[in-house]
Amino acid sequence: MIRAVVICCFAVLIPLTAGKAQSLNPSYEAIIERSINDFILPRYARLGASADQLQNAAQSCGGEEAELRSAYHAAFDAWIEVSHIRLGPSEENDAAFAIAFWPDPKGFTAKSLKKLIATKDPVIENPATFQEVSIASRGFFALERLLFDQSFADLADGYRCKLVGAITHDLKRLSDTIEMGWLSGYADVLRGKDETGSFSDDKEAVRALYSTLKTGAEFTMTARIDRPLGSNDRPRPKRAEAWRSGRSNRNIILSINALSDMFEVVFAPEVPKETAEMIRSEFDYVRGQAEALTEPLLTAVADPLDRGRVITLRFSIEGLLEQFDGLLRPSLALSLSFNTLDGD
Amino acid sequence: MPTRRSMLAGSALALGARTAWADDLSTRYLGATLNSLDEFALCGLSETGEITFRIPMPARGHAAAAHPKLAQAVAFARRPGLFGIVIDCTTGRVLQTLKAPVGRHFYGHGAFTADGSVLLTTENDFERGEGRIGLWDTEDGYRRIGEVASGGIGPHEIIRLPSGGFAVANGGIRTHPAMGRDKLNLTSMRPNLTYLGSDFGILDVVEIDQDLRQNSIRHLAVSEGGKVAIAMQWQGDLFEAPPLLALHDRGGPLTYCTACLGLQRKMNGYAGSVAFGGQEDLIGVTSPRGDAIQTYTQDGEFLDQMQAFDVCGLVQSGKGLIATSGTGKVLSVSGKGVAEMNSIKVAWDNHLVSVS
Repeated sequence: MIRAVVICCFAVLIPLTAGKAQSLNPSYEAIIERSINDFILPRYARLGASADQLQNAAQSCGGEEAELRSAYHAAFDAWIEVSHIRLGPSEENDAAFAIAFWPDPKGFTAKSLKKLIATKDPVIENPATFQEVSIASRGFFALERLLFDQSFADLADGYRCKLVGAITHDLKRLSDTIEMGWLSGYADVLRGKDETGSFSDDKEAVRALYSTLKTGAEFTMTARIDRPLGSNDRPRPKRAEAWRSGRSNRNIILSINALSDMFEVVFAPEVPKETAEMIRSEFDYVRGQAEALTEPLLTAVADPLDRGRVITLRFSIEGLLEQFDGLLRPSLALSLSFNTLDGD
Repeated sequence: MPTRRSMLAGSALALGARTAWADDLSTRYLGATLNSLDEFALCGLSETGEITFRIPMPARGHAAAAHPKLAQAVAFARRPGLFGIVIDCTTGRVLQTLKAPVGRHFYGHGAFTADGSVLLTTENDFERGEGRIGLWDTEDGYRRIGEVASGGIGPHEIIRLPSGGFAVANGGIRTHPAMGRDKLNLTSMRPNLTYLGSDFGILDVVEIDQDLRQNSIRHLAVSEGGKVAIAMQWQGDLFEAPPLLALHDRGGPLTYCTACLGLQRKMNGYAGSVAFGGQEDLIGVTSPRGDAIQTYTQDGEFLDQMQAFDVCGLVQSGKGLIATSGTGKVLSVSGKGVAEMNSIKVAWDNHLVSVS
């Protein structure tokens, strides 16, 4: 009898507590503040510093280029670590896209670089005019061609090094522009302190932050992994990201780590402990799969055994995305998007 | 306290007469909604973004078609839908249920002739894989009176043109109800824009360019001058970020319109709705997958791209455009930007239509 009463009570209580679990009162204000101060701004500062070193290292172009290449890697690392923050200043004038023009299914980077080089276009000699050059011949992927692709690297003439100088200068400028955009206004837009801003309330701002996390994981899955995977009959190894400089696997791991850091720093303190634990273990699982891939993606996708590992990695990210949508999103009290179903 | 709607309903019942949209000065647009209790409804919306009426619906709707004269609307289920419901919007009463004939299903859009006497519905003859336009006599209890060819595969939206004829978006994708929403012909698809005369015969078929043939034409809008805007959904490599809007003057070529590559990529290869702005040289396109609204001039020149979460519905308003989102926002969109008019605790579904 007592047991029946207890069960009865539970029957009444469960819906109530379940309802409460839905409205956990995450502090949107705290999420916004931490995202700005503890994630976004420090990472743009690091990108700026490494872009500065890259610009300095570009002066060694034409001689021993080991230092230049290592500065390229360091700056590219710093970019991947903040590249999923596609908000505000990074989107103005296509800044983020000018930093990293990829995927490039139509091969615009090679085409536009070849055109610049063939005509020895003087547009690259002035930083102000270089900003007007197609985004395909700017940023890390253009630089990668010049430093790692033999058909460009063999160009011993001075034009290649002038181009390297222009690209590295432009990278520094782009990075500074985004950082300044955050410091001089966009941080306040996100905080809701700017009346002209695009967020009607803190919830919308948090939704945009959550969206960067989700879109970041989707990008790694669809662009960094699915594209080179191709089909079993036709793997597409040369669609791997930055394979010329051997960064494909590295970019996957860095991006997963950046997303995981953002989750820990920004969101984890505001969601129930169990939710945070589950998301954390999902990240660990993905990281484990990514690290288990010892062969470069470029060869792995076409090797029967390694290909299986790439596919497992891909599905582990899909699992992570399901946890975002099924667990993290509701604990942040954000609704599911309603109109995105395919085909209508 | 009696609301305006209940008063209207009362007077309509008392007179026993069908009521015209003109008698309800406030309702300008119709849209399907879902509330927090998972209840579907068709809602009226005013020029200022207020809900004017709410009629419960049995299932998730896609788009509605508004009778040009009477305050009647046909609400369609999402594809592959088998029914459409004719509603008297002044009383909320279901006047008629349209059932897709054997071997056909609806795609979710319809249009009335200028005099309101015939309703045209986009349908799939799924055994043959051919598009059909179903014809229904509105003056005889919405009786099915026949069908004509849509001019292609997978007709999605149909709109009436100022000439009295129609434009049909043949999406080009073959589906079969037995395969759910699976796309059966992505490698060979060839979408087109088909013009029908006021006698429903095919006048012109305009095909998408070969290199863009995986761009499924889904939604349409027309200007007062007869320029047709088509909104597309890309089935190819999303990172190619192709144009999702094209403009067409009858007899001319298609003009493809795009933003710069970076912004265009943010649209995620998916345009949900398209509309011409009122009183402005303005065309809008929404992307619920890109959480974005793009605006262009009527010449196809890119103007702006604005962020709006889960935005999809878009319709011409008195001044510019009105957009709705899955988060309940009603937004006013102009060449200068986007502003929130209202925020309602419902999810607005795919489309908004104008009642006049």
